[in-house]
Amino acid sequence: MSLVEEIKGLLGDMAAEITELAPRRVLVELGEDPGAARAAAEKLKKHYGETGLYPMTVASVDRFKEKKIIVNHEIWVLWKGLVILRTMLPRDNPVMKSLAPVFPGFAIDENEQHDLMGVVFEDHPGLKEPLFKPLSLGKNVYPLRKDWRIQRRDPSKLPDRIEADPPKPVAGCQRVVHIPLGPQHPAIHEPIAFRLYVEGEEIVRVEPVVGFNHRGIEKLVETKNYHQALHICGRVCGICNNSHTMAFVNAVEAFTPVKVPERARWLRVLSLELERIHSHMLINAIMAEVIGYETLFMYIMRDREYIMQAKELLTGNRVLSDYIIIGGVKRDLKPEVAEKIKKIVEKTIPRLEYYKKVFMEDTTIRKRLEGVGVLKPSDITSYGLLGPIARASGVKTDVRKEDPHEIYDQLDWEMKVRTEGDSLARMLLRWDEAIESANMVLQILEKLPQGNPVPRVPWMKFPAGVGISRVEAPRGELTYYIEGDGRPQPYRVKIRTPSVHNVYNGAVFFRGAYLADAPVVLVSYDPCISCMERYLVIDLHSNKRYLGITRGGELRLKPLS
Amino acid sequence: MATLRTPEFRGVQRVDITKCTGCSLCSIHCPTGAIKMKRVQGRRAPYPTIDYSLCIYCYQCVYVCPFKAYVVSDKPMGPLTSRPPVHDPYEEYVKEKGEPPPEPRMPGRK
Repeated sequence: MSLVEEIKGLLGDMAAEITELAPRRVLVELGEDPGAARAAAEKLKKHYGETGLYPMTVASVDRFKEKKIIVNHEIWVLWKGLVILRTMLPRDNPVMKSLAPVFPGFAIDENEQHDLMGVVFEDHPGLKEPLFKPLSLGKNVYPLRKDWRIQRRDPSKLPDRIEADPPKPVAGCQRVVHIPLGPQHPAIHEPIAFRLYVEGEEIVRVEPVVGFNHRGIEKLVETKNYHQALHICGRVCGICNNSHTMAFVNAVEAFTPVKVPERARWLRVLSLELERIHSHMLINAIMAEVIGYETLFMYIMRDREYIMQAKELLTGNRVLSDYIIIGGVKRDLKPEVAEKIKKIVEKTIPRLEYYKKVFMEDTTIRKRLEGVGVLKPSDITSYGLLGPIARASGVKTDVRKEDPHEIYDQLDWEMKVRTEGDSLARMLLRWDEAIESANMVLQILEKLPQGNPVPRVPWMKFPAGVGISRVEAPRGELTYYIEGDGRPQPYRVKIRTPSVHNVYNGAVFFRGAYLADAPVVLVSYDPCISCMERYLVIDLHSNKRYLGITRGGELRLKPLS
Repeated sequence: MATLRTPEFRGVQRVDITKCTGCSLCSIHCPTGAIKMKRVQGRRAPYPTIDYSLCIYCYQCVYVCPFKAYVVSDKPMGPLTSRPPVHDPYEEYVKEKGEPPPEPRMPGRK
């Protein structure tokens, strides 16, 4: 039975209309009832079980002319398809019931839509504003609404100092110390802060603080045409830039009648898999560095450089490839270059196997990672954790198998799953996947069909429509929601990166871990915020402040006046 | 191995003004606004100028150009202080040849 029929049987009485947007994408129109989405989500959860579906994202669109705001709650039914619960709200008073009590993973997505679009969610566990937008913008200003224009702000009017919320006491704990982790992190350049509440050695509460690097890309691409927006979306993230362009192009191609040459589809997958190898090598190298093996870090990074070279041979750049375009790829692969890439990848496979062996057999690595940060499958699905984290806990989910785009269904490969759920399993799974990806690259180079993958002229006619794409980025599932209205610019682009769920929701599971394990667990999530080099310790009871410095693995506390 | 850079690298691209017809497609497609069309006295068609301090070397201009007027290389830009960051093909042609470049011949016209 297909998903549409299942959903019609389940939600037929409460939905105004149920349609199939595309294969494996079901749109459920719930009308203007603010509580309908919650009731529908409860029904879905009851039918498919706790580990049968997970929250993907919330995409809200401002329909300025109709004076409505539509809120799409996207829920992925594992191995079946995507259910979009669409609620129409009046633009002047957009209030609806939150889905966070049903799926805790929706909390961050709903908070984002509240922050940037101004939708109010009732019964939400804690709507924070401002969350992503700059503090200086003030409350009740919603940048993603269509009547808000991008404007240059007067720097003299910006606040020179922003006070953080004071630390709150934790119920049931006697002596709690508050330790900020971040926002300036030396290991991988991602500014994010975690406020760790520690009792003794144990973490009792975590509050992630985000928004240090919010660049407003979703608003920016609404002002650019599709070809310009493609290049800007490729710069959301450096490591997975190819996945971002792929997701953008897939979403646009879903509602545009553009034909993609067969050879282009193979070349796209080739670039995506090369990217996965070097991303997994990077995070494993960082893990080696966090544990204290700097030599292993340098070894892995050296071998990673060859993969970067292969990517440069294919796309023209080590990191920012700008390779995938609407209707094809930007350049063809010459046979002599393909031979070079093949040689590099053949040379790398034994190295990947060697590093996997190191991670499996080294005593120090095992002692540091085994049994640390264990995640249960029900945690994974209800909080919407994605990618290698989910697969290391035994949740069988991979976009490339579940929802194959391009030519993933024509390749012979295996989805790697581990059941331990600890940090070591996550790192080993990345090595497994890197080896599998290397084999896929060799397979693609062998089977590559002939033809011209480069479209002769750029596609210029973009109709009105909705496209939702899912791409398996190295860090997990990446999804784009793109709405076009027939103009050369996209009307709305909603980006949900895997790290939003993995970092923000994964932080909940620091509870119960030891303070010293926090960096290891963080790195094993692959958002790569790690290495406490310098932090501030505030004793909440005596209100004394110390500056903590880690030097040679030893913690020193310097009292501050 | 002196450098890891390969001949496939996307380096500095320049404009061959004798091929440019002034259709402005590259300027329309440029995601960062590095390419601006410029008009000069005595030339009918506008021509593109590239500001390398804004350029991200995505090669969209190279891809969209219908007359293949962009000349590509595998050389990186290097520090921007050592040369003017704006590439003006008209002025460079005049400096080199001592005369303004010929007017573009429109396809399909005599």
